[in-house]
Amino acid sequence: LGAALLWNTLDRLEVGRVVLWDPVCDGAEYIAALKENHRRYLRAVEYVDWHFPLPGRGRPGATVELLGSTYSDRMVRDLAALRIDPRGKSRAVQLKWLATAPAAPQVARFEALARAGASDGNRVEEILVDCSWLDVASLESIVPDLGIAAALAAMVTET
Amino acid sequence: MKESCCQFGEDRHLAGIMTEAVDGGKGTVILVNAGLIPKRGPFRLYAELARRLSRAGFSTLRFDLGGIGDSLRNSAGQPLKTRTELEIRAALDYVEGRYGPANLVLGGLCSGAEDSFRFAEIDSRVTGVVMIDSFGYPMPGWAWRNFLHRAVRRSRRALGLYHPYPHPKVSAPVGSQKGKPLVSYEYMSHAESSRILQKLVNRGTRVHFIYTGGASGVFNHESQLKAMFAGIDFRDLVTLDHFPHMDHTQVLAEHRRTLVESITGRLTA
Repeated sequence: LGAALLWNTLDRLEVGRVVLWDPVCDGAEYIAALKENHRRYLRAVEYVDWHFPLPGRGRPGATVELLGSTYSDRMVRDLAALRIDPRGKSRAVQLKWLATAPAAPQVARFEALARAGASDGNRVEEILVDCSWLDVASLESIVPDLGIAAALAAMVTET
Repeated sequence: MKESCCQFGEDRHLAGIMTEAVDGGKGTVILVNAGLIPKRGPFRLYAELARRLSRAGFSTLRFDLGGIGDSLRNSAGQPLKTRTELEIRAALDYVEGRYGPANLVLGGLCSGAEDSFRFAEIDSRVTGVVMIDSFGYPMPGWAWRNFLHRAVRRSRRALGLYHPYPHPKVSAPVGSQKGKPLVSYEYMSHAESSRILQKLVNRGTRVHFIYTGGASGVFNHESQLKAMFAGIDFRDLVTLDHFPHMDHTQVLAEHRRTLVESITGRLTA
């Protein structure tokens, strides 16, 4: 999500290179996946607890709880509007992209951006580890690094 | 409310966040990592607890043990138990130097609970321990309650009201350890926990047990605590809150709020 936020603020930043790691490419899909996974979590609650909040329930303007985080309605709308597309200054920025599994959709998105961009030195790297970003059962698990930190550091420092 | 980063310990290798009491100094709570989860706690439970306790008059230090979060791993040659002991002692020394020795409480979830409990035995400065989902030992009554729970769950599943969630992937994804568990945690033996609890009660240390539904494999009724330690007179020093509807890491905000209020209520009682 941080990568998507960065990409969508590039027009206001003076940077020559960005390093993205598993960016949210489509905010609306991301929010839909969060909601679906939160619903799955609630269906798996073993004890009947009539008090737990259901997504979307509550007074207008209330917050929405999704997989352990609480969002305002405005925040959900803003996040749903995020996209990683060629735009403005991003065309001239050198792009380094680290994609973990499933990597294929990310690689396709990277290639589209690289084609539309004017910068040299763009590259994408795949590390086939599933970080399970949207799995509530794994959100608080610790995934071994397996080269992710080293790959990101290289993308930041390489010339 | 004032929060600040701090570093302490040998070579200042341990990193923490101090949340100052808003009003008064009723004591200081030190929160120990839940497993490998950094000092914010699972789904920010520790951060929310520290801020609530601040309003109730307690300062809180939540810090990372060596090798977790922002803390560097030091004393790498020492066994884990020894390192944990040294690092919790460093945290106590730090808050004692900052606020004085009054009312030092240790707490944590899961391994953080047991690390706190184990350390309290050897350091008489600790005046209270808060333990969320620590050790549990099935006693007579646990088995039929568990059977009943499973029967209800099976019925709910048959009616389409319950869909089990897949277990977390805590196994190594690649390499020679592929598929093997990354973390293997063994809860404290009954002999050890009985010895420590007896010692703490004798010393007048308050011990607050909290069990969630995440511990139902070993603990599923309030009466079980007394049965687990039948030979120990709790002397109003041992308290228990049981929240069977919560999961182990409190994904839902309402569950975290309940837990935070439970701890705050017991500490301020």
